[in-house]
Amino acid sequence: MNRRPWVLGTVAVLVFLFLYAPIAWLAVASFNSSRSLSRISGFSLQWYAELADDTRVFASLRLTLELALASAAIATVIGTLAAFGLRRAFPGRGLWTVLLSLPLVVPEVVMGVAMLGFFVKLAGVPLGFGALLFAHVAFSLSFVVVVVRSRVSGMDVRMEEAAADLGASPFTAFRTVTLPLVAPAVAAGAAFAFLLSFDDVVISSYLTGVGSTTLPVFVYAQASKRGISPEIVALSTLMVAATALLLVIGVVIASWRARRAGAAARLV
Amino acid sequence: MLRRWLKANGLLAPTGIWLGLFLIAPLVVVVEFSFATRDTGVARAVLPWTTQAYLTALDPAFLPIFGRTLAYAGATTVACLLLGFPLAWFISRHGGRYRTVLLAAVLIPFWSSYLARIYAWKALLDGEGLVNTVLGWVGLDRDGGFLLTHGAVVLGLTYGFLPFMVLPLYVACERFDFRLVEASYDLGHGRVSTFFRIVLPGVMSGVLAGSLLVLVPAAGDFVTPKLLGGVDQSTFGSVIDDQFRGGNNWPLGSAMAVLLLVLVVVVLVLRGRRGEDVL
Amino acid sequence: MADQVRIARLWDVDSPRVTRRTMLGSMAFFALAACAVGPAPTNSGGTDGAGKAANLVDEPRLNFYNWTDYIAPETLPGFTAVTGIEVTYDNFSTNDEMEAKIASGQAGYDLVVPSDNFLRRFLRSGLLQPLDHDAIPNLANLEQRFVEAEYDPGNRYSVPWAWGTTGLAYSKSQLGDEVTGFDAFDLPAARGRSSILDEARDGMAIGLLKLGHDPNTTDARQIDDAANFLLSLKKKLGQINSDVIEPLTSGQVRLAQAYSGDAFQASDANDDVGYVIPEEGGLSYVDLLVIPKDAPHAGNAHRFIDHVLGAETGAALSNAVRYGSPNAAAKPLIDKDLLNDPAVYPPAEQLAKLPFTKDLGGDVEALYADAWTKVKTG
Repeated sequence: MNRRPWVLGTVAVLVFLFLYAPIAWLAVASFNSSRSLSRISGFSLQWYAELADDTRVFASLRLTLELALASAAIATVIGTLAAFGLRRAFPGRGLWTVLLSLPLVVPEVVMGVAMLGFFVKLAGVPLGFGALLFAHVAFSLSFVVVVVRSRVSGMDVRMEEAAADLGASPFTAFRTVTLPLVAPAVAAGAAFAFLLSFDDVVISSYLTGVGSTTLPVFVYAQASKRGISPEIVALSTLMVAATALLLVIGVVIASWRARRAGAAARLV
Repeated sequence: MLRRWLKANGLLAPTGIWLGLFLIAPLVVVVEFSFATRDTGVARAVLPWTTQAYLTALDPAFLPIFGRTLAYAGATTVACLLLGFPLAWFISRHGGRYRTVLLAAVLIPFWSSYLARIYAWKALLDGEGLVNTVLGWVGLDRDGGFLLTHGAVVLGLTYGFLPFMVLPLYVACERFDFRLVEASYDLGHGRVSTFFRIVLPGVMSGVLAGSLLVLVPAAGDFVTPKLLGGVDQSTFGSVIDDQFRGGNNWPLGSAMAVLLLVLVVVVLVLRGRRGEDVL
Repeated sequence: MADQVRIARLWDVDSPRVTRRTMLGSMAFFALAACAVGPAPTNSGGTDGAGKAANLVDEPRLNFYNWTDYIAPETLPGFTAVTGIEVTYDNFSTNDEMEAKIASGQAGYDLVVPSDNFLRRFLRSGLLQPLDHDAIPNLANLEQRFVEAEYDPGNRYSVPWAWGTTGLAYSKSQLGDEVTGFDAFDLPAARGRSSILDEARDGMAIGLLKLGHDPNTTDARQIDDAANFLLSLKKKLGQINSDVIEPLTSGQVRLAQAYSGDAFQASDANDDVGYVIPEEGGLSYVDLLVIPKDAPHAGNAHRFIDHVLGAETGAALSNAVRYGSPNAAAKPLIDKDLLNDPAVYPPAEQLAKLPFTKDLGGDVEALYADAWTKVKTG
């Protein structure tokens, strides 16, 4: 299987092509001279210019980012704790897992309507950031738990026990042994939680308040009257480009530091 | 034993409180709606209590819709596995120090707006779109393009949920001891045999977690089928959605949602009974 | 008792607010069972008599909740310049989403723009404030048709924002001039590349009009026949979808039942898109400015309504959104090509075949909804 990685490599490249094909199309369409996403009629920068002038888009983008960060942070912390809680069998574990699977199955519109009714009328939570945050954490928690748990459940308990035997405090053992082991899963869970919140429309559309429209809700509202706005296509292109750029910078810095560390090691 | 129970519940407590307040409590409202009487005013669901909504929801006329929903979700899960596994394996096995970067690259497209991605697929798949044009060079094009077909729906769903498969699979592959594969070859097992006897059991936790994260939300997604599918794209989720929109029938929509919940819970509990992990 | 509207307490704005204390008291979740669904107080028709244009909160603010891109660029700045009132402008994408928020009684919006079919439900549930006509002198500018309209005779609760028709948008190059009515769905070039609106009353209207019935019929048999007709029509369709602008622009959809405003936007982007009012007839729709009962700045909302009803503001609005203007005083200032376009301002004899959707009462509306579910799932 690993003797011919080029077979696998080809598949991986094809999957990446699949993932980036619509993004590439968006990038092309963002420079289109007409509003259409499907008929390219000429080159123009007008959508980027309009985007730059659109304060409402940036206001909702900012709110959306703040919300996604806050929601991802909370969901990751309490979700990771829960994943550890589910590590070993105990009476009632089955019930907990059923509870945690619920957010995955409730249709979004049902959750939106139910939350609007419950938050506003019964719980006195005003519409807006707070209500959105409560809801977003609630529906992204399960994703964090599932991902972290798939790592935690297979972890070797003896490693932590060994750390304890060697005199490490529970905290030190957690920090130096457990955390590095689960870190990839926690990071994956956090990424999920972030993107789920960042892209949510249906539930959010029921919970946004006066002046607190999130970007996806804004985009949907716009699309309903005029189709997808080219400004949003331009913004999507910029967002993808910016994250890709950050990633590349990260890689360059990491490899530069690795090389320096390597050089330093050779000197010693 | 008691200490372990206390510790586990202590760790789970924050999640429990959060879900209890912000998920279960609203869901109780949904259960109430499902037993209420339909109202076409703004109220939507009123007294007296009735089970009429459940009787309507269990109408066999909805069975084909249910079947289509399962078919979409099932096909999506299989497609995600077929695409996601090689990718996850490749990244964790051959990614070297670029593993994190490659993994992040899987997520980057999702920084764009969902609607923009779907519209991009619409543009790519329609009659005059890029996909049909390229296929036309080898004579595989289709009049009117591939938009509004079941294939387009599965493609759109697969695209949207692929990361939900790749990440858990990657986490599982990371944990997998690749030397086992070599050992298996050394013992004379072939590729197929090695895959099914060594690799698959080794990453099973990831396969299960990923499948759950793809299957269930894909079954509930109705926006993608609506935008990419033709006239026969109604799924269980869209029927529920229709009942809530346009003031159609909140009790019916709620009853269907409750039935869906019960179904999933029963399946999970039965699996749990058989000694497997529920989630 | 049977015809008495019973409202879930959850959505009832008249009941005293459930306080945090009572909420904590009902922490035992199942106690909620008593709270969410319940019978309503009987005076659900709302307050009678004329309204008073007063602000609950005295500050120069206005929270306006409207459809996107449904305003002229200068409307809001112009209002702020004249009155000094700052406007927070939010958008919604569906009537349902907007209704759910207004019905919660805590949305905080002063001015909302529902379509006429949702106005009926708002009124039935007493969610709106009656307008104070003394505060809206420009009300006299309205065209007679919109003063008499039966969704709200005498404009007691609403003032029209813009209006349009439901007809057929089509590709001129693919279907030519053959499109005159619903027969166009049978054209070979339209097969599998046509769509109808995903709204119960609009969709059902195709079946009813094609069979020669009134689109506002209350006859269960006719509604059922229409549903069966649509089920057979469905085999020839590409989609049931209200999102028609991009598909029409790209040519993916060649024939679509569409709102006139959407059709004009598609033809702005692609002049191959035409719009016709079918010979069988169609429906008119109108979006309306209303003030929710819980509006914190109702007085400012009245000032805005009066501002928009001004001749110049109304004309600028109409020129920007390309919908029909209900403002008679604004007519002389509206672009001539817009004013002379029979698709925007149909001649009188055609207008007679374009009624507004009537409020048919809860039971009949439910018949329509169920027939539509049958069409969509069948």
